[in-house]
Amino acid sequence: MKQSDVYIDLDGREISLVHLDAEERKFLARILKRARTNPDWDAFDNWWTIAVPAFYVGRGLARNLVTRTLPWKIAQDQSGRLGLAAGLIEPDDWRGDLEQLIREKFPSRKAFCEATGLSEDMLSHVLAGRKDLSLASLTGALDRIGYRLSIVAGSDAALDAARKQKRTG
Amino acid sequence: VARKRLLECSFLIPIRRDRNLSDGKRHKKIAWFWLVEQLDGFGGATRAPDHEGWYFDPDTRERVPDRSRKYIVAVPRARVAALRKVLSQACAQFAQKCIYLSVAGYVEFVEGPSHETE
Repeated sequence: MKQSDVYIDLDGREISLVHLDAEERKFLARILKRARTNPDWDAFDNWWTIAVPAFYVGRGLARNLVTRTLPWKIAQDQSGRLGLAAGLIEPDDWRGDLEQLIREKFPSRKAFCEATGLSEDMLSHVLAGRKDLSLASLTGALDRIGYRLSIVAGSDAALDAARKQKRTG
Repeated sequence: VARKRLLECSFLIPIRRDRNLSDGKRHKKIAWFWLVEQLDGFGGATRAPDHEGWYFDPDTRERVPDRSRKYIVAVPRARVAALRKVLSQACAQFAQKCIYLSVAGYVEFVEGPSHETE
């Protein structure tokens, strides 16, 4: 796979671009080019949240499916990078990953709790940052749904933001 | 051509979680992503530059300085209730007791699901 066929998001996940056609690649290049100019976070969000739907609806895609497209996800990721760089977003930790897993793989928090054996009350406290889960509880719960913890290198943007925070905080 | 009349709704989302309900830290990106996707269902929104202000916490009576992001959405009257519902869920997503909503100039505070049932 060529380097240009892969996008690596803030969490270090690889997003394959091989299924994008020439028009979509050109459009994606526009998004990335704009993000590279380091625009204001609000201005960038005001732009891509209109540009991405306009592009896909223009190609006949149903409006409600636009958020599932790769350019939407990548523009969202670029927005996250800008928000982090501006110091307006908290760098992700395992709580953010857990929340994302629940949102993407389960119909509700309740369903996640039923599958993992965690109580809804505990999950709510954990996600709000009020309580912590022990490593054993977390790995045990994840094991039940076929996931595991791993240690990954931090992305540049997240590290830069953390360093900046350390310098100013 | 007669067009459906739209109401200008704007609301404020503080950039930090409530320090009594939660930890007072900045939100994770996933919370903002969630909001954008919800607002996409209303045909989009405009984000205005940050707003600085303060409020008195109704529970602790403390003066709380805050910095918020303002969102402006144009919705038909019939969908204002749906927007309120999203903002009620947003209270949980962003760990807020309530969210300031202005509907055509009339201000209300939308509370999260747990506050509504109290």
